[in-house]
Amino acid sequence: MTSSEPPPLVALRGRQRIAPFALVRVGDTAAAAEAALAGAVPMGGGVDLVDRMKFGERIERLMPLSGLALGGVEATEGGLRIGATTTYAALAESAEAARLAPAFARLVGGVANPRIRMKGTVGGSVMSQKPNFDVWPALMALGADLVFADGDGEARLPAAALAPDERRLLLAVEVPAGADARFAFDRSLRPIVSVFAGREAATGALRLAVGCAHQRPLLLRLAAGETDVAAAAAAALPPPKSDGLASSTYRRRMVGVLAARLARILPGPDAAS
Amino acid sequence: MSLLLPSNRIHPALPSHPEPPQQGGHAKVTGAARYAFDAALPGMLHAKVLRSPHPHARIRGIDTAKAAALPGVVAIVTGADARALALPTYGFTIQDQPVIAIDKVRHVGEAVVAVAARDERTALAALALVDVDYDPLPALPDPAAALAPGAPLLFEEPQPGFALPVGAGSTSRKEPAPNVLYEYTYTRGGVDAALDRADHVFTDSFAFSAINHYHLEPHVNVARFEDGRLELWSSNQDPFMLRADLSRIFGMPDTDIRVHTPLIGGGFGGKSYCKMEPLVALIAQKARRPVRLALTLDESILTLTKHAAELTLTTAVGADGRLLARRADIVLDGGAYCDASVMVALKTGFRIAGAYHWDALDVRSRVVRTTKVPAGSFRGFGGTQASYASECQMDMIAHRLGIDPYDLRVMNFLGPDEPFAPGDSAIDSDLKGGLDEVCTRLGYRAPKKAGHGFGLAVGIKDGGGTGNHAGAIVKVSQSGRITVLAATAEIGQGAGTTLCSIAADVLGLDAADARYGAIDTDVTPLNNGTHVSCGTVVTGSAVAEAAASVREEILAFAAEQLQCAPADLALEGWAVRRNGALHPLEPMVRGYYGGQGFAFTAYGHVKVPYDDGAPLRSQNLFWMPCWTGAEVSVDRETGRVTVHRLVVGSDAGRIISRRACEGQVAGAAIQAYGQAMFESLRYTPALQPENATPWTYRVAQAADLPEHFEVFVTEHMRGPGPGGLKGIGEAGMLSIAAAIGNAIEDATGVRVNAMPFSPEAVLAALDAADPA
Amino acid sequence: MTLTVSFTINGAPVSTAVHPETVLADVIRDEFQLVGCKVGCDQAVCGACTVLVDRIPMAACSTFAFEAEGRDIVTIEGLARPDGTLSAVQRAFLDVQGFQCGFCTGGLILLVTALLERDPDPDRATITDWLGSAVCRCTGYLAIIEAVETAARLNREVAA
Repeated sequence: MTSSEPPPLVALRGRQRIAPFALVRVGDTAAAAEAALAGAVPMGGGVDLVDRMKFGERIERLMPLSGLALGGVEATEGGLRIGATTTYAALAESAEAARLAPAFARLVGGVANPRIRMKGTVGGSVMSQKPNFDVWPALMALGADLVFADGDGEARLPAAALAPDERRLLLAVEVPAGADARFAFDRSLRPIVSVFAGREAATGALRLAVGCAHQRPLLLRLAAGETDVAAAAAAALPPPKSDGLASSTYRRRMVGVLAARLARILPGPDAAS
Repeated sequence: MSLLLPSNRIHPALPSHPEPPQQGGHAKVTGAARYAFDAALPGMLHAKVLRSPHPHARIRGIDTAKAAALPGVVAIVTGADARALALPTYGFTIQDQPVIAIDKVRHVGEAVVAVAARDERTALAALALVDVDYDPLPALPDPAAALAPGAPLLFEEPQPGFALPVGAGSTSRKEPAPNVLYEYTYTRGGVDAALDRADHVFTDSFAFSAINHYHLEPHVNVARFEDGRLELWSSNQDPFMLRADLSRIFGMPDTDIRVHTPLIGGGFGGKSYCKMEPLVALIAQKARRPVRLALTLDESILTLTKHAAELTLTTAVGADGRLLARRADIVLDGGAYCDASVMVALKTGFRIAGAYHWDALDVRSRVVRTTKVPAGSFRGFGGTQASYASECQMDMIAHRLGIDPYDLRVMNFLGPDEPFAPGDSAIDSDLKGGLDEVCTRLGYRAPKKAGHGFGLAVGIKDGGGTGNHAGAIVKVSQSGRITVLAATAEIGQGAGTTLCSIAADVLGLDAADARYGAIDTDVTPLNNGTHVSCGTVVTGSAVAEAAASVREEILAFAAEQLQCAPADLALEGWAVRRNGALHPLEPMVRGYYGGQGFAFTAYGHVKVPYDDGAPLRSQNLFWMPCWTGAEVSVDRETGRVTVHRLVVGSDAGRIISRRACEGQVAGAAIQAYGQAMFESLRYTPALQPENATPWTYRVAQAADLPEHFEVFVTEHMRGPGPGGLKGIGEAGMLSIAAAIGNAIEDATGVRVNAMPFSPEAVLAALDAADPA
Repeated sequence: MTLTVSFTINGAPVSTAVHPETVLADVIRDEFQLVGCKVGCDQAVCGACTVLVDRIPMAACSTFAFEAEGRDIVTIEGLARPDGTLSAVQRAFLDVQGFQCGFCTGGLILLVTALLERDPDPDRATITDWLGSAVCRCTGYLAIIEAVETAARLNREVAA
């Protein structure tokens, strides 16, 4: 341990550790997008952000998104568009989500607890990139897009392509039409590992997003017709972490077990179309 | 004063007791309840503590200059200040834990520097400016490493203290070997001979995990030195033990120390015995201002754990299933400092016999020092470790002999009135009756669902403490309202309700009008602390004695006023009856004493006598059974265990508040259930705590409950407390893990003998049994 | 840097100066002396600090004070009627002893109040889901579940 880098304050996490910051108030989405690029940190519900700040992480400029028109769930030509500041609870209770993405809505309506679900936002969950959060890997398995502010317009990115240092303002996520009918998840082994699975309509390939097992959730793709999903998924998986909860070996094996179970219950490409 | 002895009789059944009014319940549902967490004094400073990032290191130097220069910082305390104390260390019978680290740190999270400042934020900023120069030393991750020849020493010198005296068959040794804190042994009969001639001898080992108390109110204290006195508002559950410790540490007369114990926001043992109270006092002394130190829950997690343990049992059994003899080798991971480890070692060793008859026992129970968070008291200390190992082995023996686990237990149970050990008191519960109740509720004899398994377990522990004593004052005002003063802290168990109810019963007055007085060591009668489920029986007996004396005082007063003999009078509500005529007491009291009225006041005191003929040097006051049944299924591909049903029962002797008794059993059972299934304090290979935050340290939440969870409390009417009462607070933890482990074996045929029963551990056991 | 935040607390309109980094729990406890709001885990796990913000249960330890601007806050002290009559949820927790140490109780009662507003007759799964917003280390949850069911019944009886 070098003297230039003092050890962390052991166990002194908490609200009094939250470093002073400047509050950035913006009037509209365009201003928010600009401020985000300039380094202001967006805050949706703050569930993850406040937690990190209590560990001493410094945020110089914090930009609440609560006043902006970034919420809402709507059907679009492409599928279901979910505004970034939509809370888990609002999404789970949305009639549009129940109609167009019932499995995803059921997932979101069951994560964490109602108190968190009424505060936490879809955008915040994705952008935190936390290994144990469920929304981002679910979106990967659904083949969803992330919609960012980009100049005067929007830029789309497949959910799995989100970069660790992404600074653009997330406007919404879009779940493609029909994807939810070929989506399933298994969270029964949380917080050791969770698996989210989606079948690509066109190719029949299996998208497997894995949570809890690495520094960030990640996506595997198994070609259609893979007969031994368990072995293929376990083999394709980058080395999972080892900790006191479970070994890397166990996590790898369980990704296979859960993936195979999900593959069995997912409809094939024909059934869903 | 009277001697309090184990009961040797069955009390007559009493009419069912209505639920007594909850002392403090209204305050708890309206937000008016006040805890140590809420204590505040004018001019109060706030302290924060810099903690060691190393599991083991020498402190070469501490530079606090920059911190001291920060505006708002008032005082900084380090080991140099502690060294100047009359006694710079604390610990129960072995005082090895420094008030704040002196020269060395021995676990991650040990206090190294404390700062008092105008607010917590400033204190934290100051700590970030402190430079500590550490020279890391080799860590001792577990007892095996600490016991290895040539292992580095945690302490180079013997530490102050003594070996706790014990009784017949027992030995007690302080620091008997390098890195061994304490050793307890118990021997009776000839174990070697029994092992030689037995039909079967089985040796099995079990690993028990460390968990944290996770009381939602973290440790918190407000201290002030004023006019030569030290005054403390503390979340500690042992006000008088704390006062005695502070007296030794500061070299002050104990009467110059005054401890207030407001409501306590959960403890489960984590707030018993001395912790950081002397440090808070030391900071206040140096700052010359009142100081508050509220730990974060993260810090509380690094303050104390339950003892992890390795227990190896060698058990001799006859061909018919009769238990003959047991040799037990128990190794407890004590962490860095003693805390209450001595008691835990002794109790684990004593309780490893379980609820059964033995011809011979040979027990060795050691606490080994490691560079981890100190281990200490946790709800039924030692009892959970012992019951876990013993009750798992019972099922393993049953399976090996082809005997039903129920039958093996019943065949070997100690009967009612049979002594637990020679020289000790007799079992005061119907052990078979309780187990039968579990079997009925579980449907143990009914066909099992495919893939499901049943597990039974019966834990037992002694209760009420060793040689404990307690005083109590009962006052009755001119209007017939009761005040009870006693030092059993209200920590959620309903002490005030129970004790007020006992007093009201003796006096025939309304418990709704009784009040449990605030605890203040200047005023409240002394007792040994809020421990070992002793509040109801020990303190309760003192309250009953005091109430009986007050009753006599009232009758004597009334007799004088009515010019008759006290024997001619009967107390009836707040009046006396004489020859059919009712004489209200309030006008009588006011007539004699005047408008201010009067309080009839009496003191009661009971003492459990020492007895060298008993293994623990006093006959155990009462026995606390825990009857448990579990139904589980196991996902054979993942190893994930689902507990479908959990049934847990205990015996309260007699019930004052059924809800309070059932609440104690349910709460304890779910703590143990969490430990069995997923909860533990884990360390990385470098001995950094891996999950010492509230979120990552997972405790049971409502959704984790078994699909069906029920508790029951019996009244076997054999307890030594008023009317047959026993304590019940710790019982519900004892045999939960064993019952679940036994059910897993019943469902799968494999034994998982380390906790928690994580999916990976279960799958590994399944793999080992079926390598294909 | 400070800012002024205005909101109502237990019905009373208030304004107070806070730092951006100040959390609601500290304002409620230190500024308004409503210390029924307990801070347990300080990580939005235990729920002891739960308050209602526009009838939504929030962890006051993890909500910035500035987020309260213009909103209606209810703490445990604000639940009983001015004449002291307890709410149905308070009554139920008291009647069935849905607490032991009481440190989590205020937050739990507010949480359950919000639950029953949304679902007057919650099933067991809904109750345990909602109770996942809190930790009670004392009770083993059985008595709390009973308190929720009792409160729902009391509400229905009042409505009937």
